[in-house]
This record gives sequence, structure tokens and C-alpha cells, in this order.
Amino acid sequence: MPATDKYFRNLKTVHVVFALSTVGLFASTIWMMAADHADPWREIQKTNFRIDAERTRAELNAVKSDETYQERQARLAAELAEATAKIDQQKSDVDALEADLRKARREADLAEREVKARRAQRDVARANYDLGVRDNLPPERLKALKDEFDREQELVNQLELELQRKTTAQAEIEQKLAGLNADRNKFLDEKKKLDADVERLTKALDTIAPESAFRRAKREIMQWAIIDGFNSPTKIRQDWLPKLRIKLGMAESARFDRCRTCHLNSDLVEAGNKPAYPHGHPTTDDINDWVKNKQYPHPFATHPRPELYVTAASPHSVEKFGCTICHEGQGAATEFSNSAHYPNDPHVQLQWEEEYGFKKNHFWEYPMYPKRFRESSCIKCHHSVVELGVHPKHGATAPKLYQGYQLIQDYGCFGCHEIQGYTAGKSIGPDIRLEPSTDEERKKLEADPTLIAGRMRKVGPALRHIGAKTTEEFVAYWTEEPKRFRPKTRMPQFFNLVNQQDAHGQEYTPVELAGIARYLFDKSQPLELLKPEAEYQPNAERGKQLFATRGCLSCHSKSDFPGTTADFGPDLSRVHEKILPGEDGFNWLYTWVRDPQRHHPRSRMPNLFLETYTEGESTIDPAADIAAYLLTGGPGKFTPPELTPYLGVGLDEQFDADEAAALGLDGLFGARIVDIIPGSPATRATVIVESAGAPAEVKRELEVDDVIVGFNGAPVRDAAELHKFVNRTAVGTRVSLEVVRHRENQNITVVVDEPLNDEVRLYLGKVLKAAQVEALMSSGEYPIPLKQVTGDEIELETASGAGEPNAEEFRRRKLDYVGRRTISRYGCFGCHDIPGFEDARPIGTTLQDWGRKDTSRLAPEHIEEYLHHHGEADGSSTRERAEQAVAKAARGDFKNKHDEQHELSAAYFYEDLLHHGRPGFIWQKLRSPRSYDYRKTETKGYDERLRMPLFPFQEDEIEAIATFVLGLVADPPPADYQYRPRGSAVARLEGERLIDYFNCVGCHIVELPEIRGGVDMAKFAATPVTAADHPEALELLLRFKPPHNGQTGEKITAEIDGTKKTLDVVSFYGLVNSKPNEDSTEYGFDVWEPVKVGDILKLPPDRVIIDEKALLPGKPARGGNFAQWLVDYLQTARVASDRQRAWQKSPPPLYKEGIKVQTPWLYRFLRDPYRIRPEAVLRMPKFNLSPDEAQSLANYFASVDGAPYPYQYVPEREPSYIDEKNEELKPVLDDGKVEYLSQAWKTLNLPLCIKCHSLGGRTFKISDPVNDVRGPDLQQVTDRLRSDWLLLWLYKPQWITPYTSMPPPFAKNQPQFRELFGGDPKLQTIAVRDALMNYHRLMEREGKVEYESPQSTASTGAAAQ
Amino acid sequence: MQKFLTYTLAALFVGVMPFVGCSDKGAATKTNVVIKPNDTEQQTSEKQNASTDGAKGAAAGFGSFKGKVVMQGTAPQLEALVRKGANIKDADVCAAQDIPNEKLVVGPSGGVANVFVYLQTAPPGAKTTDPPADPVLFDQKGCHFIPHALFVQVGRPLQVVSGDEVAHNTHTKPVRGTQFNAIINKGDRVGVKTTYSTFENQPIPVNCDFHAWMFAWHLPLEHPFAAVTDEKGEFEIAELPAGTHKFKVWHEGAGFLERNLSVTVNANAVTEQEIPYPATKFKP
Repeated sequence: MPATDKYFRNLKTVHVVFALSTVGLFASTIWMMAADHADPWREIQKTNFRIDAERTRAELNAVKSDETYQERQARLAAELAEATAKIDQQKSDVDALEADLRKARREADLAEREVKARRAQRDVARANYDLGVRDNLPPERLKALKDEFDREQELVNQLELELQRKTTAQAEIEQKLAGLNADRNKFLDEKKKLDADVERLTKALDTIAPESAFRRAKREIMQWAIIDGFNSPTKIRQDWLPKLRIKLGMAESARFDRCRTCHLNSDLVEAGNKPAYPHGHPTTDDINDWVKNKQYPHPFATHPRPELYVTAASPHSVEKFGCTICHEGQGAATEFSNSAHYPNDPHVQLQWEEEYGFKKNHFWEYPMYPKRFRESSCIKCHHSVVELGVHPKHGATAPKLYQGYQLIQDYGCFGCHEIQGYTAGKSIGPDIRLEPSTDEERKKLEADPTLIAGRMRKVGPALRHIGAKTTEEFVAYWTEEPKRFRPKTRMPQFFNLVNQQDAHGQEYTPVELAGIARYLFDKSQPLELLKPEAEYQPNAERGKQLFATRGCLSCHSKSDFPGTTADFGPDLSRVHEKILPGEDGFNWLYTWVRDPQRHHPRSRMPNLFLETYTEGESTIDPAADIAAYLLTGGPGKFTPPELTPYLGVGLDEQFDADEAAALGLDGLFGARIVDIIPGSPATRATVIVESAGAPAEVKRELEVDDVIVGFNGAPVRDAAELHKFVNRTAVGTRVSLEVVRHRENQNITVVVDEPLNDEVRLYLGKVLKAAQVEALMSSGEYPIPLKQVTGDEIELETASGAGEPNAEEFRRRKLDYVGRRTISRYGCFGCHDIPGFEDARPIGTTLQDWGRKDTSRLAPEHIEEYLHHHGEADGSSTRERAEQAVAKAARGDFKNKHDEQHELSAAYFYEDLLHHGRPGFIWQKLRSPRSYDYRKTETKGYDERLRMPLFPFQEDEIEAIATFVLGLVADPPPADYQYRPRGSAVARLEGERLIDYFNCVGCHIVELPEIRGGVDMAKFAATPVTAADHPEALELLLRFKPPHNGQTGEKITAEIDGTKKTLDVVSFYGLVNSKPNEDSTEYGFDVWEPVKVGDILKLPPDRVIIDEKALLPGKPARGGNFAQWLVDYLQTARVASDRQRAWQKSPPPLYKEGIKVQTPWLYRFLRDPYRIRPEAVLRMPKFNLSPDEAQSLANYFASVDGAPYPYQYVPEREPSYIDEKNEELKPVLDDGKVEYLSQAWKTLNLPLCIKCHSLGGRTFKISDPVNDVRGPDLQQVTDRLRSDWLLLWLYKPQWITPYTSMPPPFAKNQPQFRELFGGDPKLQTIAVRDALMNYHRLMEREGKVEYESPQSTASTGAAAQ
Repeated sequence: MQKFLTYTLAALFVGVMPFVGCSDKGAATKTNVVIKPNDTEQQTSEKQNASTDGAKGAAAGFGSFKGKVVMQGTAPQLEALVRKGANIKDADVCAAQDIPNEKLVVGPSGGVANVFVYLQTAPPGAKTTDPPADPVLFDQKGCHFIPHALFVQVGRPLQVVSGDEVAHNTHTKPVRGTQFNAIINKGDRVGVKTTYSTFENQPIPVNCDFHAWMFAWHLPLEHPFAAVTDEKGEFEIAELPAGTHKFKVWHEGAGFLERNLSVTVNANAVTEQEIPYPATKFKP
């Protein structure tokens, strides 16, 4: 087409359109940029600038308005003025001096230049000479060169001298000048220092909020869009963490956390490592208020516990760890919702929606942990967990998580749900697994270095010898609902739960209960029992006393002893009911309390050494007495489960006349079927029909809504009557039922059977063909030979060719089979040792990565419907509960914070469950595990029903468990990010675990309680250190027990004896000695650890009296509940005359045990404890510890007290030490004629120690076996005690143990036995210690030594000062 | 002679009392206001307490309380704690003769020894004096403590000595105060000095850990208004401000025989009272 000048469009229009579109494009570009620039984080940063400015201003004002500051400023100004005036007076002098100085400086400079030039020439001369030497010049040439050098050197020397003179002159003038200006310079320096803070703050303030308009404008412009790309004050702050990679779908990349773009102050601390911006909930939006009250909302607050998190000095610095490794969420996001913040409950969510337009970020795989689960992520790196619950420095840093961890251990969740902590020998998380149950398994694991054995024992009692312990009826009764017998049991409930409420469940439950009991008793292995002497008459009353005093109550409670709450072992209140009646039961219990490992080799119940002893004439067998006491009340009666014939139908128990009439029945007549059990007689029912002229039997199942009105011709009036008829009918009988179906009567034939047979058929149907099953059911002969049977069916195996079993035997086998199947299905062996299940594997899903479990693999089924209509323990709706909680919180109607938290927690979990979240799922799973079968039982096979039992958890416990399980992600960061304890930390952690695991803390106090209360400082006196005390001892005491600072600075006002008193609150570590009573409202405490309040130093065993009204809650003791109970008990029971003696008879606090005992001794003692203290009413039992466990525990005590281990150096045994002593003490060792240790041995054998201790081959003389104070045999000391500790003990025992009876044997001011070490009490004390540390050697060398009083001192005795 | 005089005077006073009647009381109160020293008033308001009611701010001079604790019924015969020649620790010294059981010592006329009669706190109007500086002797001889029951004022030195040829270990077990536990060397007549730094609410046990049968009782109080009955069961507490006082009566076998024994003391007179208790109260 030829070109034309015609335009396709009107040009004018085109121009207009073009113009408009450019304007539009420009506008949209601007809009786009503005929108892009309107990121919320910019506003946050700007707000933060305002906060900072306000804070700096406040600080500046504080400094400026400080009185001392103002005063000093004023004083300085005056002083400066004075000094300046003084200088001004001598102005001419100063000027002259300054002129001189200038001149002198010039001259000095000149001289220096000259020296430098001359030195260069001298160096040339030297070089020339050196070259001459190299070139081997003739001597005269060399000499000339040397002379040349000497000349130059001489010149240099002269000039250097000149320079020195000049610089000295200069310095002199400077000094003079400085002298004149000295005062002023001093004040100027001082002013500079004084103004430093103000200057710093002013400068800081000027940066964020400049005074000058120009700089303000500049700062403003810097923040404009586009321009802000060039070093704007507002900017994105990011932490780049290349090693902490993050998984994004299938890919992995380095982690970028931009959280600090908004959380700007998270790492800022003030002096003392205190948060610079403490988090709080300010009531106003006014920044000034925040600053004034030092309370900042998020995101402006500092991270809590800065000593632990975020700050550079903390173990989790943000530079190394970032934020999202712990918190999760989308670190790269800079917007509230995008970053996948997660609300703690629906109420918070509503607030967020309102405040931030919050929407849950569904596209981010790992949203942040809500506040309630913030501890979860700790176990990503802290695989040993214990340090999160107990830590000497930081305390419990993740208490909720730790509680969950402990619950999992206590309740034995790992029996079914393994938590595998290793992959190919590499630690990936906490490891909680069962220990190998057979030797072969153990050996296999040991042989493979990549496999690491589990170390948890089964939590339930062994059932291997159950026949010796209890009755079959009890086992069935107990299994059905354990808490019915013992309300506080930890055993969960497997039966009568929500998915067993239908006819199927109800009919099969008794069969399964009977089956379990039958199986266990059939397989129970005989146990060789111990028996008391034949003629022994057990005394139950004495048994009660022994039960109380021998330590049983440190783990168990019993209603006879109110106030005992130990729940480490079962409550024994009803134990007599369950034990086998008669002598067999008695003997079993006798054996159990005497030697628990005989019945259960892995039991944590220790051997308490309940051996027979004599008291006067009579022999006492404590185990027999205790057994008799426990069996007081006699056996209980438990009805076995009733196994009745059945038709396999569920009947409408409420079927009444009206309903009958509606179905066309006359009046109340018949039993209506509401449920048909699959595989039951009802499904095999038949009718006789005329077929081709002949009657034929065809299948016609019973159906729901059929009404049975006749049973073998007899009328059936109601459901109860039908039950009666069926129960009377023998299994296998054909009965004719008259059934009304759709208003028509039919005669249906049913063969009555029992649920047992049908359950057997059900299970066999999975492994055999239908015909084989029927053949077996009629013949009792299993069709497959034994060797080929691997499953539970071995119970039915007829021992290959043993022939037809009789009916009774076959029924027993069927019961065994169902029992075994049930045990298999429910995984009973996860907690109990059961014969036949040695190799069984845990049945539950593994939990090591449950925190990352794909939520699409959780099966919520009909849980929403269930919770809509049911869900709560009282049958009410969980949904309503959740809705009410949110509404109530919105209205602010909750009475207290705890209730609000509790209800909103439920709302949170409910809400989460609706969104198929993991937390909601686990919450409901633990609340009602079988509720996920709601309306599923109808379509599921019986054996496919859920099996998880119901544990007796409270909702807060469930949350704790969820916190732990959600943290199991099996996704550890690189090794250097993980917590890998080393050295003593390993010993400490393992020890912490073990002292809980074996309940050492049941008896022993391992950490003393902190007492806090108000005292009258006028009466709070220092403990006098008297002339009797050795100063060396005080030094030792303060080294072993450094004084605790008891000054709290707090005050308490209390009305005491009618007078209002303001008292100073002090804190110290000690034990209660007396409590308020009729005569007093005071508590008396024994000080155990030196405490310093100001200048007042109180030492043990001083007493502090605090009125009950002035007593404040302190940190409770760790452990020792039983010991403290026993001390009271022994006084009440008059076993001990006073509290000190009662403590001597009770388990000792293990306070500073590490510095007290030698670690190797402790190891041996733990493995094989012997009686240390003859005074004690009980003795250390023998725990079922492995060598490793004993070693860890022994190391633990040394580790927590910072004592060296595992090796102990005892210098007192070394020749060098003894030689030194011989030399040093020559004058008092008869001029060296007597050997030091011989003399020391004599000192030990003085008539002192022997008063209460056996020693040196002599036994302590007993005057009164009940009341005598008896100390430990001293031969054990040498291996047991550390020598420094022993020395302090010998100096002053009360400083270590306030309750001891032992007096200081050699008081400093009472010299005695002058023939030994000149009567010097200090030397005698050391000598006794050295004799004890060399005990065996001396016993052998010196033998028995009786003290002979020397004539000279015999009559006068000791002379006192 | 002096004793006779005191008794006569006391009898006279008691005899005259009914005739004087109430008017005397009123008059006495009046006089008192005049003679009371200034500082007493302050003392009174500070030290007011439940153990004395009558003398509130108006001490009508000072009197004594003299009494006798008597057991009604037959006293049980107590076995000696240690028989002469018994096979015990340090038998040479400790079993050289019988050691009597002093848990219950009843005199011929039924007087009970070793009973503590005391006021818990100083009565208002009491003269305040520093505790005596001379030490109280607490001795041990023949492996038993002498005396068996001892009242000692807080702050007054207690000198623990021994006349035995074996070492003893004297160990006090106070409830409010801090324990004392020291070896007293054989035959040490200088002994070890200690003082109680605070009062106790009831007598506290003292024992020797070497010799299990050795027991004694001490009562430290912050004032001198306490006494221990002698072997006749008699005691006297002097310098009590006139008025009604509430005494505590305590015996080791019985515990508190009385927590509020109300006794009215008149000025310049001796109030005498026999305090009888049935034998069942004393459990040796």
C-alpha cells in the first residue's frame, strides 16, 4: 500500500491520550514508590528514634539535674575562674616563659636536624671502612678510613651532647610553665571528665533529634523514598547466618533474619547486664510514659534475660544465632503478618487483627512458636535437656519444656513412642528409648559403633512372676480401670473409653480383660521366695514403725501417715487388698521388700537391707514385720470379668411402651436391636424357607431395629429378659428368635456363641483362610506347624501332633490367644516385662521428628463434630468452652489471670485443632485419645480402632508435654551450635538426671532451702569467734562455704506482739529448727552456710529467729522431704530426745558432699553401701545402679562443688609430708626420737575419740544401746573423707554440720595432754587428721595403743587458761 | 531468827489485809503516782505484757513471792540411772557410786524439787539491773550435773566445771539461742565459760554426749524473776513489783504444770502460796 499522509487516528486525540497516559504512568509510579516506601517498619524505626531521643533527653536531664553534678559544676567554675585569675596576675611571667619556650623549641629542632645530618655522614664513613675490610685494603688505607670514621663519630657525639642540653632547657621551661598553669589544667581535666556524660548524651541526642533546622531537614530528606537508598537513618537490619541454613521447601539456603529491623533494641543492655528497654505492658501510647516508667512494649523492648540471649556476651548472641533458629517464622520478612508471628490464643489473635491487620501466614511452613511453646526450640540444640531444667547459674531456663520431658519419662511414653536421638551415631535430639531387653540385643548394639542403646527402664512393674504376687481376678480388675483401685496411679486406662462404648466394645472388653489376666498367669514364671524363720511371729505394729523409719515413705505414701506425699513409688494404702492371700502372698511381699530385684531385676526399688537384728533377747525380722503391717486389712475381693454367651446385638435398654406402640407392638413387649456386632452370631443367623418345595436354611442376619419378642417360644418382655435368656443358654445352642421386622413376625435361628470365639475368629481371619478358621474352631487343632508360626497364634498351636485338645484346654488357649493379641495390640510390654514379649518392638509412632510432622498425615477425622457436641469431662461442648473463653477475655470478665490463661489455652488448642495443627492434635490426643474414633467405629474394623490409652494428665501437663514434643524436630543445627557439655558439666548433667531417676532427693536434701525473712538488725549479731576457735579453721570454713550475701536491702513491716515493726529482710541457707507453737509465734532456723549481712558474719550453727509474720517465701530445699518428715516423726515417736539427735538418726543433707568425700569411695559406696552411722535408724539402700551410673553420680557431687575428681591426692600419706613434719616438730617429738605418725597415732588413741567412736582395734563401749551417742567407726575415714574437710571437721564439727553431737576435740584455749605435741591443740588436731589419713598403715605398724597417763600430769589434769 | 521475823511480818500483813480493804488499794495507787521514779514510766510502757496485769504503770512498791510446789499422792520410787559397779563407759568414775535419777525428786513433805517457776518477761515497773557479773557454777561430779535444774540470767556468765576424773562434753540444746558444745577436761575446776545470749520460752535440755544418762535443764531469761524449787519444793522470787503476775510453772516430767499461775504480790510483803499438783501429772 502506498504511503499517504493520512493518520490512522486523529492526532490530537492521540496526543491527549498520550499526555493522559504519561500523567497516569507518572502517578502510578509515584503511587508505587509511595506504597513501597510505606513499609510499617519505617514507622517503627521512626518511633524508636523518638523513644531514643526521649530516653536520652531524660537521661541528660537526670544528669544535669543531679545535685552533686550541679554542685560540682558550680564549684569547678569558681575554681577555674580563680585559677585563671591567678595566671592572669602573672601574665608577664607567663608571656616571657612562652616566648622562651618557643625559642628553645626552635633551637632544639635545629640541633636535632644537625645531629641527623651528621649521623648520616658518620654512617658513610663506617660503610667505607667496612668496604675496605671487605676489599682487603692495605693496612694504611684502612687506618685512614678508620681515622675518618673516628672523626665523624666525635662530631656526632658533640652534636648529640648539644641536643641533649637544648632539650633539657626546653623541658625546664615547659615544666615552669606547667607549674604556673597546673591548677587550671587540673580543673580543666576535671571538667572534661564531669562533662563527658553530658557531652556524650548531647552528641547522641543531636544525632537522632538534631537541634538545628538544617540538620533536621537533612535527616528528614535522607529518609525520603529513593534517597533513602543512600545511608538513610532508617534501614533494614539483617543478620546473615550462612552456617545456620534454612529449609525452604526442598531447597536449603543461608538464613537471613531481619527481625531486628523492628526489634531494634532487643540486644541493648545497661550496666549490670540489665535490659536497657525492659519489656512491659504500658497503659498508654505516650512514649514519655514508657520512658518514665521504664516499660516498653514490643517491638521496642529488650529481649528478656539478656544474660542468656541475644546480647554479644550471652551464650546465644544474635550475631551467631540470629532469631529464627529459636523462634522460627519467616526471618526475611519485614512485615508483621508475613514474618509469621503466631498469636498465643484466639483472644490475642483478635487483638492483633485489630491492631496490625494480622492474618496468619499459611504459606510459611514454620510459623513462629506462639508464646506458650517458645521453650520448644531449646531442644534443637540442648539434646541432654537436663540443663534446661536445672542449672547452677541460670536456674530453670525452660521449666515447661523440662516438665514435659519429665512427664514423658515418668509416664513411660517412650515405651510405645520411641524418641530416637541418633542417626548413624550422630545426635539429632533428645534420646528417650527403652534399654535393650535381652542380652542378644545388647550385644548387637554394643558391636555396632553407629548404634547407641536406649537407656530407659520400663516404667511399670515386671509381670514375669505375677502369679507369685497377686490374683488373676485382681489383674483383670486393675487393668480395666487402674485409677479405680489407686486414684493416683500413673498407669493409663485402656478400657471403657469412648470408642468402646458400643456393643462391640462392651462385649469384647471382658474377654480381653480375662484374656490378659489369663495369659499373664499362664506364662507367669515361678519365683523362689524368701521366708522369715519358721517360728518368727511378725509384729504388724512394729512393722508400722519400721515402715515409717526405714525409708519406705521417701518413695511411697500411705494413708496411715498423713502428711507424706511421696509419689515416686505407688501409694500403698490398699496394697493388702491386691496381694495374693495367705502365706504365699506374705512370702512374696516379704521377698519383695527384702530383695526387690529377685522379682524385678530392673526395678528402681532399692535393697533396703532389712536384715534381721537382735534387740535385747529378741530377734527382729523387719521385712516380715513390714510385710505383716502392709497386709493388715486382709485381701480384697475382686470379681473376675463375666464371660457370657451372646447373640451379638446391642439392645435398646430404654425401649418402652410408647416406642413399642409406635412400632405396632402391643404395649411394652420385646427387645429392640440398636447395634449389630460384626462377626457375631447375629450375622450368622438363618431362617428356614421353602425352596423348591423343600425347606432350606438360608442366611438372614439380624438387623438394627428388629424387635425380638420371643426366645425359643417364650415371650421376651424387655432387653433385660432377653439378656437373662441368652445367659442361660449354652454356647453352641441353636435358638429360635421371634423377631418383628417391619411390623412382620419372623422366626430367625441363631446359634448362641460367646464373644471369645468371635474375637478369636476375627484375629485368625487375618492369618488363616476362612475354612481353616472354622476347622480350627471346631477341632481345636491349629493347621500350621509351630515352627512356621511367628505371631501371637503360637498360643493356639497344638504342639505339633499333640492331638486334639479337650474343650476346656482349647478354651484356655483361646483366652491365652486373645490375651496375647490384646497385649500385642495395646503394647503392654512397653511398660512391663512380660514373658513372650522380650523382642517386641514399641507399637506407637516415633516422636523424634513429630514437631515437623506433615500435618496432612494427622488424622483429625470427626474430631470437630465430636468437640462441637462433646469433648469436656462433664460431657459439655469444647467448642462452647472455647467460644466462651474468647468472649469472656474480650469482656475482661475473668476473675484471675490463671483462669484466663487456662481457658484461653483450651481455646487456642481447640482453634488449632480446627486448622489441623499439631498442637491441637496432640492436646486432644492426650485429653481423650480415643475421641478421634468418634463415629469411626462404625466403619472401622474392630482391630483397627485406636489403641492409645487415657493418661491422667491435667491440661497444664498436656501443654508441657506438647511443648516438649513440638520441639522434637530432628533437625539439629551444625555441631558448633549445639550444646555439647564437656568435663565436669557432663558429670553434673548426668548426675542431675540420676538423682531424680533414682529419687536420691526423696531422702536427701541436695540443695539447702533459702530462708528469707525480716529480722531486727539490733539483735542480729555476728557469731562470736571465741578463744576456743582456731583461726585456721575459720579460714578453711570460709573457703569451703564462702559466705552468702544475706543483705537483700528489702524491708518488711509486720505486727508482732501487737507492735508494728519494720524489719530488715535477710536471706540465708539453713534448716528449720523450731516452729511456732503455743508459747511462741517464731520460727528458729539453724544457719548452715556462713552469711554476711553488711559487716555481720553469722556462722553455723548460729540460730536466727524470725517471727511467722515476718517470714517470706524463699527457695525451697531440693529434696529431703522424707528426712525432714522423719526428724519430726522421730521426736514425736520419742525415738530421739531432741531435734539434733533426730537429725543424726535421719538421712543427712548432702550439702557440700563433693568436698567432703573422696570420689572413688563414693563410687564404691554407691555400688555397695555399708552402714556408716550406727546412730541412723535407716541405712543407705543399695540401688540398682550400673557401674556407669554409680560413677556418674559420684562424679556429680564432686563436680557441683568444684572438687577435683576422679583422682584424689592425699598429701598426708606421702613421705615428703611426713619427713617435713618430723623435721618441723623435732622439738615436740622428743628431739626427733619419736616418729611423727607414731605420736599422731597416740593422739588419735587418747581417751577422747574412743568415747563415741570405735577405733584402733578397740570397740566403743556401749553403756546404753538406745541413748548412747555413737559415732562412725573411724577406720572408714581414711578412704572416705577428703583431708582438708576432715581437718575442718576436727577443728570445729558444728561449723560443718550444726546438728552433730561431736564437740571440738581440741579447743584452742584448753591445752591438754601436754606430753603429746606439747599440748598444742592445733598440732594435736592436725596429728589426729594425719593419723586418720594413714589409718591402715598405722594400725598395722603401731597396733592397739592404750593411753597411759604420764605421772607428771596425771593428777593435775589439763590446765586451762 | 531472820526467817522467823519475815514469817511473822508476812503473817501480820496477811492478817491485816482484810481490814484494810479496798480503800487501801485506792490510796496506794495515789501514793504511787508520786513516788514512782520518772524512768519507770517509760520502762513500763515498753515492757508491758501479758504476764503481769495488776501493776500497769502503777507499781506500789515491791514484794516477794514465796511458795512451795507440792505433789499430792505417793511419789514413785525411781531406779538409779546407774548402779554402782555397772559395766559402763568410764566405769571407774561414773559407776563408783549410784547415780540418782533426778527426773522427779520429791521431798519428805511432798515438795517437788527442780520445778521452774518464772515470769516469761520482766514485769512492768521492775527494777532494771544488769545481769550479775559473777558466774553461775554448773558442775559435774560423779557423772551427773549439779545442779540438775538451773535458772540463769541472759548475759550472766555460766562457768561449766568438772570434778570428775574423766572428760565430759557439755552440750546445751536451746530452742531460740545457739548451742554450746564443749569438752570439759577431767578435773577442770576453771572450766569453760559461756553465756546465754537470748531467752528461752521454757527450760532447755543440757546433756553430756559422752555419758548418755547425764541430763540437766537450764532456763535463761532476760530478767531475774524466776526460781527453781529446792529439795523441799520451796522457792522464792523477790523484788517483784506489787500487782498480779502470771507465772509459768514447769517440770521436766510434766512439762508446763501451769502457763498462767495468777499471783498477787503486795508491796513490802511476802505472798506465800502452796502450789499442789496431783502425782499423775508427773511422769518420771
